[in-house]
Amino acid sequence: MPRTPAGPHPFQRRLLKEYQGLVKANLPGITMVQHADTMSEYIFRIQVQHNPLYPENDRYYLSVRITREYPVDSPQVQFIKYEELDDEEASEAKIPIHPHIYSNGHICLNLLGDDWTPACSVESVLLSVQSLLGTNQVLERPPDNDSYVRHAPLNPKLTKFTYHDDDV
Amino acid sequence: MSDSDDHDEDHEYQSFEFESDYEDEYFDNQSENSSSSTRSHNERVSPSKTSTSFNEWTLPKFILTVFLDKYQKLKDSKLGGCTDDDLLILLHYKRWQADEVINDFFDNPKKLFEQAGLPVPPQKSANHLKSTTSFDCSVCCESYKQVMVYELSCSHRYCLFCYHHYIYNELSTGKLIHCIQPDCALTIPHGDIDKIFDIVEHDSSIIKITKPLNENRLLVASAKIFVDSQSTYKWCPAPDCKGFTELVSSATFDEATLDYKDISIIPIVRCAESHEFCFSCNYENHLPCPCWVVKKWIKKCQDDSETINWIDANTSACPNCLSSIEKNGGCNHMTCKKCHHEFCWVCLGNWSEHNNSYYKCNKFEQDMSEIEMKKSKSRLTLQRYLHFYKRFTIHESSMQGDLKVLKQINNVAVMYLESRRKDSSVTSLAWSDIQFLPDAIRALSNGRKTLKWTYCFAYYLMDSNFQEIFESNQDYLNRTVEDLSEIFEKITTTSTKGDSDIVKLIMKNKTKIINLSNTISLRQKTLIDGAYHNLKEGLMKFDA
Ligand SMILES: [Zn+2]
Ligand SMILES: [Zn+2]
Ligand SMILES: [Zn+2]
Ligand SMILES: [Zn+2]
Repeated sequence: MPRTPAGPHPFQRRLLKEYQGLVKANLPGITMVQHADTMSEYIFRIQVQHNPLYPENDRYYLSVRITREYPVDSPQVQFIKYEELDDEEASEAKIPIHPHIYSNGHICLNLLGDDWTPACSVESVLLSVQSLLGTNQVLERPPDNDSYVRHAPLNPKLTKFTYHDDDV
Repeated sequence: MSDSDDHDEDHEYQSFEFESDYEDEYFDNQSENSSSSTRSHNERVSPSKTSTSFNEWTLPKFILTVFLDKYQKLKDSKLGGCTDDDLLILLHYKRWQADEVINDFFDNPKKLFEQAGLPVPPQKSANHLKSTTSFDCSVCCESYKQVMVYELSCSHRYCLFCYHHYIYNELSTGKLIHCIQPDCALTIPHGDIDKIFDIVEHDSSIIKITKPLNENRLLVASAKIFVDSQSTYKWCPAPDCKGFTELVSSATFDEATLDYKDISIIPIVRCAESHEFCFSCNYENHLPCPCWVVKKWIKKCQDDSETINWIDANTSACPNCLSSIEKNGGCNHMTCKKCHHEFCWVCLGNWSEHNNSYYKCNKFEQDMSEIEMKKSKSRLTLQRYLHFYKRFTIHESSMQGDLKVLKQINNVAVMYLESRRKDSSVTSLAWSDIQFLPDAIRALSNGRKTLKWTYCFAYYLMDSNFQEIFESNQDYLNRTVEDLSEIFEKITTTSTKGDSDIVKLIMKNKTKIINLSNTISLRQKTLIDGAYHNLKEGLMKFDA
């Protein structure tokens, strides 16, 4: 389907509704720290509860970009190294260590690949990523981290991840 | 979760032997043409002694034969409680392995249905594609007063606009497509996919364009992915051609270790649209050249693209009066409109001399004059290259010219017959009367193609006594190709009174056209056979 990159997003109403929902949503441990006026770029702060591997004070930052193809196609999501200016605790933000999260912030998550459908949303991504950390039991990088990071494209959506196991 | 990416079943379908088919098509016409039957079938040496056999496919034919053949069989056997939609989904899910569907069906139907995304029996599918009022779609977040919606048995309902976007995106995987609801595994039937597209893309729920099942969007996408993923399948490289070919068997063809003396093992195949191409290097039929020569030549031509401009600048004027000449058709016999000088487009020589010694036109004269001798060696090398390159490209563009003229002739003939048929008055022509045209068209363009590649062949050939034989074969083929091309071009340029005039001219020249196209095919074969033998015996060698 030819889509011109200019002009309003073809799913403008959906974007608006999601934005309004995200502003109102009171998701424990998830805070919107930045968003673009176009409602197509967000940065969220993620904190993990009840998992000693990720102390509750540790802050991780997730970048979410809504593409032209959204919601037919999944958003572009990755962890980033981000510093909140007005943050007193300003401890250096890191990319969380996890067997499905590469050190460049790319995440291997079914929901962002094969399992995505247009009925999924930014909120479902946030919850899914948070639970990815919440349920983790080993503090490790993916086995292919070094080689992946060396050759990875900037956009994680260009990577065809093979999902190691489905239960994480 | 891969539904369809690994089809590795054996297909047992009729294979076409290239060799036999090739001959039959060209020579069947001879029976209706007394004057050319002087040659008996036995006289002909077989063309390249290829052991290549292949299947010609189009997507609809492939889908019908490989996918839907089993569907028909199972449809007849009537698996209990299975609708046609269900059956198609089950087969697609099981990668068209009918046996697996039957076994699993009797083993554990519930499990099979669940895995394939179908409501578990005795529940039946209840999918709805309908118009509804006051509907809020949770994907696009629009509130519609009236809108078309789609839902599977799960009643997860979304607007058709969203379903269309979603399916469009999913089609590229070629796999079964499920309900939009993330945790819902129900599968959208193939037929519903086409219905949704028809309604959205034609912006109307009234016009129902029912595509035949073998053109179903999901099946087409699935078949494309299958073809892409198999090394025994290749798409036809001809522009705009949607055909593809399955290599059934060929001589062991190892690019790395091949000693290239035997051009008979080059796997030349044909697509369903009769385009011949090389299964190994994916170029058009480049016989008599081996693939490595083709690659070398193409690379050289790309590297030397500047010289091409030189040629362009030097081949567009009449050698007599220097007024510029525009070449429209394929024929290389040129007549200057201004001074009426007749010349050869290829060597710019006088055309009248070509009847006696046309073959100088192809031969690169290395020892021309003392002045030539003084030229530096590199200059001579360049000139040699230009000589062959020019002829190669001229035949390439002549091929385009031929095609233009032939298309026109064919269209005129077909339209003329059509109008006569509707007229129901006395018909002087029947369809069978112009059946020779497509054959002649093919013979001409195939002949030109071979001719074209002989210049690449000759460029890399080492000097030998057998080179002369090759050159005279080349010359024979060249002459017939030009003769036939000229007839066609004359038919279109000399008849000004209209279509019926063209048809009359075609019929008047019928015997000539049939004779010439048969001769082209024969000479083409002789040339390739000669190259094959001489290379194999080591009488001709490439200068690697
Ligand atoms: Zn559903
Ligand atoms: Zn919708
Ligand atoms: Zn083709
Ligand atoms: Zn080849």
